[in-house]
Amino acid sequence: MVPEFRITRRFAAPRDRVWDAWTRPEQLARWFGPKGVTTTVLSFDLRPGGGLHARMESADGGAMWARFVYREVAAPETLVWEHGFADEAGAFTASPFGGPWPLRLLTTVRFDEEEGDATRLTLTWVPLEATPEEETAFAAMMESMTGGWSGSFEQLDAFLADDA
Amino acid sequence: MEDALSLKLNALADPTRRAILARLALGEATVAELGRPFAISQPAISRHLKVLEAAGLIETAQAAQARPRRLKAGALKEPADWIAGIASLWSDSFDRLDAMLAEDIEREGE
Repeated sequence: MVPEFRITRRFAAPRDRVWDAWTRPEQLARWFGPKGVTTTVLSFDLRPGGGLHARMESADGGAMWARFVYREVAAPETLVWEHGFADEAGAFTASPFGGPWPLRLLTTVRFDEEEGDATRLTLTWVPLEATPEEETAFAAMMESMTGGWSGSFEQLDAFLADDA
Repeated sequence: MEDALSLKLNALADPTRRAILARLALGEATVAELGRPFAISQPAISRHLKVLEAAGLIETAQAAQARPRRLKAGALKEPADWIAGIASLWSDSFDRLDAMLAEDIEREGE
């Protein structure tokens, strides 16, 4: 059984506004992507079966692409899509970060209203049709976050390297 | 043939093997010493050690008779960096989303 990746965050903005930030390409481009990249949405179709293709460019000129294929669009509560890295043409492709990463992750985002005109956002990731090797890598990543051992191993490693 | 990162992640995915690594962080230990805290057989411990060694996370000191195992320095950096990179994909994006929402609300208030 592969655990699901779950991340939750409270945003100090009304739900409709947070929904727009995820479903309007010009807004999504302003915040989506790994640290230090500039995101450009190349195509966008917010309907089940439709999708998004975005280019993410880093400061050194390197580029990678993301692809979403939407499965469920229930404004302003739930957004579900297949999520993956892509090539320039928009086909799902292996992670540019290397490692045995699932090609596609089923991504579900829930938008819940909270007191004070705020929104609680909950995002989950579940591997789709992943190989056992990819599922193991995904599970290791998950456990490291919930168990907090990734950080402690990093410190341990630095300590050992200093020692050597 | 699996790549080095896959082997390391696979080795790290098991709680017994992580406990063995945590024990070895305190210093080298023999197979018998490593097995003591666990309610599993010595062959089972040896199998876990084999996985850790094949992944390049630990090594065997050949000089001593008891062939104690020890951690390999630097071997955990690659999986730790990889995990941190993946784990921060969303948290970095959420930081930017938070800033964007705050900026827009402030602008409207002016």
